[in-house]
Amino acid sequence: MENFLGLYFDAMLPGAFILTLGCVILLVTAFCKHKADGWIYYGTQLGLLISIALIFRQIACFPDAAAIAHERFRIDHCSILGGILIIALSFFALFYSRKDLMRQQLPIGEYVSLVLFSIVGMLVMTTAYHFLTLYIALELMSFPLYILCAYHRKSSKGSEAALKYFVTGALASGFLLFGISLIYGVAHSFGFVNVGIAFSNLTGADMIMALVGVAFVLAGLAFKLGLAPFHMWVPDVYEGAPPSLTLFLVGAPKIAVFILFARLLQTAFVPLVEHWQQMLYLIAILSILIGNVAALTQTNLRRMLAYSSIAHMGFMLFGFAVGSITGLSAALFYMITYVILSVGAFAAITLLNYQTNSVETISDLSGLSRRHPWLAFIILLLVFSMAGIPPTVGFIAKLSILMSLLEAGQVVVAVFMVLMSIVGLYYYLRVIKVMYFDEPAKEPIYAPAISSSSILFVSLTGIFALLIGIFPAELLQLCQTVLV
Amino acid sequence: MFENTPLLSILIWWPVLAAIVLLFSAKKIPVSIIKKWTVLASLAELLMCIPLYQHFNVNSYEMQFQESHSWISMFGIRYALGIDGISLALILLTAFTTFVVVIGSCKLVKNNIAQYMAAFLMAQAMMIGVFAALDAILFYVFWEAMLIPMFLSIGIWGDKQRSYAAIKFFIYMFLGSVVMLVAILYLHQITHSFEITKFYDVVLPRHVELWLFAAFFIAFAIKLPLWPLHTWLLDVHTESPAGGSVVLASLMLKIGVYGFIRFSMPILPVANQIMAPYMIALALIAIIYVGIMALVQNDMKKLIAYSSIAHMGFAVLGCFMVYSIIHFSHSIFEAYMSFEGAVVQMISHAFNTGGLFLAAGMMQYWVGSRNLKDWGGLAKTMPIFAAFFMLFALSNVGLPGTSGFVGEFMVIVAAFHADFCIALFASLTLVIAAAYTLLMVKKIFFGPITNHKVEVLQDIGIHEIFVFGLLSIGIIFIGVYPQWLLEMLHASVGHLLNDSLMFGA
Repeated sequence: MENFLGLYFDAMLPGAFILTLGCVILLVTAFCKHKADGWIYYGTQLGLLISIALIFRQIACFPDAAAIAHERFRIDHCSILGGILIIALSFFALFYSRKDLMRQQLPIGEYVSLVLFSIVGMLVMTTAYHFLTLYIALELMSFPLYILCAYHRKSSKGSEAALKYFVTGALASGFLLFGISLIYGVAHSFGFVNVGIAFSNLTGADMIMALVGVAFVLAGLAFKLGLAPFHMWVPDVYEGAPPSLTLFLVGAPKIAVFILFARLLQTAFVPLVEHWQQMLYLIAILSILIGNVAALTQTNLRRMLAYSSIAHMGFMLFGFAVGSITGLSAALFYMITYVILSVGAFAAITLLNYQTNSVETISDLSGLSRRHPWLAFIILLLVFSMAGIPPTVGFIAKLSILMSLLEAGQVVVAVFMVLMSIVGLYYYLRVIKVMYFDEPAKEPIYAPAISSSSILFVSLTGIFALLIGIFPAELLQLCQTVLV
Repeated sequence: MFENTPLLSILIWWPVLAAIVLLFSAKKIPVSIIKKWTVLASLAELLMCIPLYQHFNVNSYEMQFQESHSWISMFGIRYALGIDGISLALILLTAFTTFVVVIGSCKLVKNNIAQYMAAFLMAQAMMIGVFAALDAILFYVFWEAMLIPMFLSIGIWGDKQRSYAAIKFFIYMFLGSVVMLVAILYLHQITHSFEITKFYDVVLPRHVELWLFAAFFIAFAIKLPLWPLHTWLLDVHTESPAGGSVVLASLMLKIGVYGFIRFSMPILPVANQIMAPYMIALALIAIIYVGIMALVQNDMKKLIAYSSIAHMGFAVLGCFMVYSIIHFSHSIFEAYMSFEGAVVQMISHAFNTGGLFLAAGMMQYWVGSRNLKDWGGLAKTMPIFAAFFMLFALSNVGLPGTSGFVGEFMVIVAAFHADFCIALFASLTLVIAAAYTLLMVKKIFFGPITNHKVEVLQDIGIHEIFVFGLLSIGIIFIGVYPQWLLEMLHASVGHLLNDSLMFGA
């Protein structure tokens, strides 16, 4: 019994810690109003650092790398890596949120505590091994995000984005629940392992029911990753939500959903691999087509990045669709690198907005290479990396996906993928063209130097893009070992 | 002393290092030091080629100066370098041309000179990497990475339509290379290796070979560029800065031919054998049609660009004629001649087109016009410049004693052993080339001076004479003593021919 409690304790500690932190901050905010803003911010960042340490502790607690608690949770290397990434990305996002919130004169306390609750949801999600855990974690993650989306009450775009996000999100939850209920009907269990066992000997009507269930669950998750045809919310939310939230939204939640997705496909849905493979190929191709073609015509920078993220999720999904461990680890590598790149890109936009409050369209970046050569260079690295040009990391990510596709004999899909990346290249090059080749449209009236501390993290993402592009061996190895 | 030095790595990474130093110190140091530093860096690079040449064994076809380290162990990708005679010749050419370009163009740029120079050093490093890579993915990485400095140099320092040209350039290049990437990965699936030399041993079904050929063809034909994929070159050449044009014409286009020689022909002998007549036809179209197009151009840079396409067509002709030569006359000697002629043509084209583009870039800088109608009578005001220009033009035409003659002569003589028609059409080009080149010279240098801006020009100084002198030495040296170059190539060409003709002979 003691052992059992110990297991639970170690597994839940980081999540419980963050939950407590969130509640404390909520209370502090209720009593202190705005006076404690600085304390809250630093306290939260400190708390996040501590919880990273707590997750690291799990590595020592579970030396055999996998511990299943009551069929509901599973702690393994994958969930530990996911947890670390989620918290690190949140730390990064909050770092840039603070000034953005201050600029818009929004209270920081509620914002931070909602973000923390969402993080708890994500952490639970990375360990979910049971459909009920899955559902609850997903809702715990999503609800704070819906609220945060409309955090700027007076912004009509924000309200519109929140409403869209919420309504479509509710629909996705409905899909998910419906799918789970069908799966339960077939498997008579919610545990991933049991479902997997039940799925391996299906016949007749059960088979159809199970397939419909799987399709609905995948649709629900595809919605959360922003994959076509469930992508409608992505551009609106990326554009309309407060910039600081977008920064959060493009990072941590994607990692959490990814880990869950991978685990589901690796355990419960394995017996039906031939069936969901085709579904995923279709979703991926559709996402790449819609994302890339729609991004071509965008003038708003964030909308463009939103559509490009749909396309990137499509590329990543190929790794899932291949259905092999190489594919899965390629997808994980793609996901980690893409998330870091996009967080870097959005952070750069947020940074520029501190100053001029006008970087909305792509052409607002014109002449950036003269005003901020270093920042422009970092954006250049990020953009080339998203386009997949060596020697940046985006190339290695695309390469690993391509290799897994060819290993599975999908030559046509591979050719489609590289041809679509040419379409993608066009709109990425446009950003660079505007930054480097065009004359500045208007000189900014007031352009103070960006403080070196705030440019530091953005620079790190750009340097990451270059360095991991040149020395990717270790990260690739890590992606493989955590998934085995 | 050089046995254990990783000479190739030094040659690749030294310019990168020099460029990074340049970028980070750009704001702090004056322009004159930037120029000196760049010139010294590229001179050092050129000097480092000397031990490379000295220790190279020309009698061996083996890859020499090999280096191999694990790079991405999970995919079996290695950092593997090594050169044979063809690579050596092209690396020497790259180091030499970059040195010339750096000196020649440092007077032609006004703003951001440090970044401009850094772009050239980066491009140089990546190109040497392409020629030295023995791992297919490493090759691809260098091949793609080269685009970034070229893209930026066109887009930042180019002419009015520079953004359009730069984006067109990048997308065209990317189109070719991603298709090639799939082909490389496909070959990897079969051989479980990324070593280029391992690819040579693979035996594939016919239809697979043809598909792979198509993929490689798109990549290399765009780079070359081969008609009808040549349209990017015209925009890019006319819009890019003088130095950019020279690097593009003298070095980057060579990578297309190098790709055919290194990848397509030895890996896919059957497909190349089948497609050879079509390739010859495309090359002849390039030579004749593009030559005629050049005749009617008024834009100086465009004219040289067209002439450049025609000359690269000659190189392709030389490469692919080996199949018909073997087929019709079974003479391996003529096949050697044709193939080596193609490589010599590549090298010689670098000197004369490089010289012409540099001269055109200077002229545009002086007067601000590329249009031939704005020129005339320049020989009166600038006799020394006119003499150098004439030499480049004559080499472009293929006058005996210049390097241009050697390559074209070898290819045409070999062509008689393939097919009389091919030889006839190939010889026709000499006439067309003479026509457009000499017409251009006539319009620029002779006749009355119509433009007052031309009238006040001073003749070139010691700086430019040095630059043009270097190129002229190259032209005349290879024109008079081609044996030096041919010896370097012979063993490697023989080995590659052996692989390429495996089923043809």
